[in-house]
Amino acid sequence: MMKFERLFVGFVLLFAYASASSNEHAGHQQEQAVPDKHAAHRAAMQKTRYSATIENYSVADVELIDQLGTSVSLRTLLESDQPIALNFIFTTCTTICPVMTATFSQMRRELGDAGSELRLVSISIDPEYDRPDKLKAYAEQFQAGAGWDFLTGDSADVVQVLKSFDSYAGSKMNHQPITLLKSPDSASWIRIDGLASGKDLANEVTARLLD
Amino acid sequence: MPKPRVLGLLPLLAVILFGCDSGSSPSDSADLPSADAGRRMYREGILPSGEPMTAIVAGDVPIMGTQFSCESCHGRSGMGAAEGQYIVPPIAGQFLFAPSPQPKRPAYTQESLARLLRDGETPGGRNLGELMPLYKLTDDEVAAMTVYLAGLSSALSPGVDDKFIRFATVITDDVSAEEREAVLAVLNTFVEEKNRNTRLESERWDRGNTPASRLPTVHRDWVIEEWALTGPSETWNEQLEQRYRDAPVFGMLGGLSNSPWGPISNFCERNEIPCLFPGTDLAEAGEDDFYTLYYSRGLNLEAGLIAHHLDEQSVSNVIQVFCGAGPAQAAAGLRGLLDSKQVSVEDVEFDCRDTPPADFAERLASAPDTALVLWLAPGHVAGIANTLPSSSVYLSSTLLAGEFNEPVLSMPGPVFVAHPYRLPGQSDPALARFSAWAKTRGIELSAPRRQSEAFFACLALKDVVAHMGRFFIREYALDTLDHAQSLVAYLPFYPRPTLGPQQRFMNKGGYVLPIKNGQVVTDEAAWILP
Repeated sequence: MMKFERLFVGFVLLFAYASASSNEHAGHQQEQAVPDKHAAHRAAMQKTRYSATIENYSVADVELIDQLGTSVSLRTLLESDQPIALNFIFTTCTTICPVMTATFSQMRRELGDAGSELRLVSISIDPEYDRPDKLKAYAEQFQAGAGWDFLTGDSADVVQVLKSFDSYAGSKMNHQPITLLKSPDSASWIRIDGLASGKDLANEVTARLLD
Repeated sequence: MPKPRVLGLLPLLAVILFGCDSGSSPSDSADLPSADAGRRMYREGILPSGEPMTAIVAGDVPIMGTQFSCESCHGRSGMGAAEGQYIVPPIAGQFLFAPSPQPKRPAYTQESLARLLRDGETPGGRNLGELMPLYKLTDDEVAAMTVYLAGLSSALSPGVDDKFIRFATVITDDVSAEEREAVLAVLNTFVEEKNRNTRLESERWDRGNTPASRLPTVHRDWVIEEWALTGPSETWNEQLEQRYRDAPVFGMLGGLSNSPWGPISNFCERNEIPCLFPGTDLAEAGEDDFYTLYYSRGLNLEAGLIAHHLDEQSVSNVIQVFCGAGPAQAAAGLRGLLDSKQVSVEDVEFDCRDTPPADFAERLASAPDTALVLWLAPGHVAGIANTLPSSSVYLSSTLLAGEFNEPVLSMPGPVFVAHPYRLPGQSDPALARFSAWAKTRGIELSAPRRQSEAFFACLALKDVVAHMGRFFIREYALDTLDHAQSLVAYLPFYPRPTLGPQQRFMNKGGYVLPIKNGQVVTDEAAWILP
């Protein structure tokens, strides 16, 4: 709730979105002079909004497990020489998680070959229920494919991870839409608050991680 | 206009007002789209053609109905939910097809519903946010959805009238009289107090001059009755159906049995009756079951813990000793888990009235890679404890009733206890709260786990009933519980419960605790989620 104001700092136009590398994500919604059948549709599409900030985090040094049951050192994974996109989800979430997961898929499609190096990481914030088998089924449901790890672990460790990313909301029911990006060349993270579209995320990744 | 387009609101209103489903409409019923088709779209995201629904969400993200459906967000009841800063509005017919004051919009028609589903525009001219997918749907598909939504949660569930809401607690005849009375004392006291506290509510609404004071009361007196089941479990369903026919209940509250709960859960599933938190260690639920919520898988969870622990030992044979229906089910569960791991399993079953046979002890002595699993109560453990060689022994904390005494503490081999509860010695604030409640009401704690579970079930139900307001709809009650994660703070005994859609067992894991030098060792206890 405290982050509410910060969330709407950025206001991004999907179509009029020109400078992906700009730190100032501000713009106006294009007015449609003549109302037409799809005005509402377009307006809805233009309404995705998010803010991007640069943050320094000390990633919790914990062992998690992936959807295949393999043990993973989170720090090692995130300090690899690949660009990283990370989010927090849980498989029985009823609002933003399925959308965020589908958005990650779409971001990959948007990036195409250029994004083949990008490593996607989705960490469950409901580790008691989301065991590897559940995450594997979820990954298949969203056709996640290779290069996308779904992680779970001990609930205390997951809380530590959330806290280290300043993303702990107390209960899974207060879950916020957050995407974290990291370039292998930099120690800092780009934090995206809000539900960005697949293209927004792809643009951010291209501008900040792949160039 | 061709016939299907005429649908509009009239048949809908018929459905909403008269509660008749589309199939039994008097006149042009053949032309009405089927509510079943709409239901499949709503729940599973599958079109009448069998193809998944497709949509765009968050601006440009394509999704399929098989990834998430209407139900995923709006709930089984269509009564909506809230998660974090996002509010998912109710879309059940009585809301959708009626004008809304806030945010202001006229009632939906089939046409405006189509516009909403396809373009995200409400008849009030508002745009829905980025979370609502924009669907690709034909007119016929929208019509099917319209019919389904019109009927969804349109009538109050059975077991409620304008004065009472009725619940049953099922108790089977294999439960001791002492335990039965201990648990009934909790349920009855809680319900009596609840009713006493709201006894004037039903008289209050028609007094005063403000509009609010003239609204009918949302309060109902709770009625709880015991449904005692007798005889073999194959006959339970018939007994339940009979009780239900005689006087339907809104839901089941708590319950007690030492036999597998499956037949009761099946009854609830078939009649769409919420069955909230039965006192059983033999939980059974199908993959898609919705109506029964359990504390945990019980003994099957312990079997999972033991199998997980055995994985890390060099054990190739397991002998399990048990008597009675519950332990037999746990043993079968463990056998199933070990079969897939190439561990051979030998079952030693005996009559519970006898002492367990000890003739397997010799075989154990000559096979060092054999572990012994004793699905036994303390009395039976005592019967064979001194005949055991120094093999690994696994015990069930549930069957030991949490008692870690002699002779368990001084058995020769390495001893492990499967323990899906809080660690011994760990504080349990919810249990303390219950104990204080019981003490001030003169209720003796003769079955603390079952009694405190029943107390939790009451607290949870009270929360849910308050949340439902005047919408006494069973699926809404269950949707509400799915989102009531904050309730788990009131759950005694179980350390890491979570609630959520599809989650039908609150507590999912446990410990395997070693016993060393006459003591249960908890220092390095690892939480296992089998």
